[in-house]
Amino acid sequence: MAWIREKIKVNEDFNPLQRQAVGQEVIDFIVKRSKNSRDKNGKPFPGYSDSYKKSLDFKIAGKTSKVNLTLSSEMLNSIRLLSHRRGEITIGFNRGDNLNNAKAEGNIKGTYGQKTPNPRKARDFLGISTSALETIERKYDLDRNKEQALERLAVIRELLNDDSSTN
Amino acid sequence: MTIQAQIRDIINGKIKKAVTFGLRKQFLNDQAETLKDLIVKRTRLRRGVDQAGNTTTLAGLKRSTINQRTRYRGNLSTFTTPARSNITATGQLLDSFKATSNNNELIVTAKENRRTNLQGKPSTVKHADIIKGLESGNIGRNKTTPRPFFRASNAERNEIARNIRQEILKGLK
Repeated sequence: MAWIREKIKVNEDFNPLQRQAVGQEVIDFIVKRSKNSRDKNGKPFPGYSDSYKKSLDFKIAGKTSKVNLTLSSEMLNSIRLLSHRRGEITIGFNRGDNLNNAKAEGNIKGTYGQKTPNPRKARDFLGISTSALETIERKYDLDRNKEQALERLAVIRELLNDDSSTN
Repeated sequence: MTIQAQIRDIINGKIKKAVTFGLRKQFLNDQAETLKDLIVKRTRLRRGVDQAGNTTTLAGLKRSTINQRTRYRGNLSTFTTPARSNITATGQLLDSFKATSNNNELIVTAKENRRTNLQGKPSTVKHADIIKGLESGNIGRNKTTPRPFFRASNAERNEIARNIRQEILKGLK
């Protein structure tokens, strides 16, 4: 099984805190866009099969025909900022998270448990367009947007400190 | 006071306000409700959670349990089947979950409003005892495979943390 992750180029001048902030917002953006039925290129996801729509799982999750990669919500909620270094962040799933790596691979390749990828069924959700990334980066760019960037980074710093003190 | 210190004070004041906004009672109550719904849905989808917050597949049901559930199929919740192991027979336990918040903590509890058992007879079993039994695998005098489910998974925590972070950032505006 593949380890599902995506490397994304970010502003080379960004420091570690800026990269972490951008990483979180990129993940938020991917989750929101996926819940709105769009893949990383902005194309609508292929629809659900009839058998899936008739399943008890479908009913339990309260799903509709709108494809949103959300059954229990676990896959989208498991996307993490895996690492970052100068000019680059890597997002995806923990290497040992077999279940969500398998789910993500099934969606991205359109395999869904089969051996052969099926591009017509694929829902390639892990990635972000250059323009969307630029919008996010601008919020944390001290050269272009100093006041807002300082405030947002201060919040992110507090939350990261809080997170590391409770873990 | 230097200009730098003044700027720092202004930013700190704004952050304090934003945090107060993001942690207001009504919003946290809504998040507790979201968490409750995530736990209920995930459990009905046959997923439990271990102590580390990882999700697990709930252990399957014994043949004798499946037979009993088949016999009383009419009393089963519409969210299960005789062979589905999803902490759902009549559905009263998961339906009883209530959510609230207190002191920045999200609280999900099972209300004690159990009325009937699978046979349709009045039941005195407490939801708290059922949850404890499922966690430990000791239900009354019976030993069963533990089926821990009543806690937030790491993924569920991520969703709540994201919602709160976004709300705090919204409070900066």
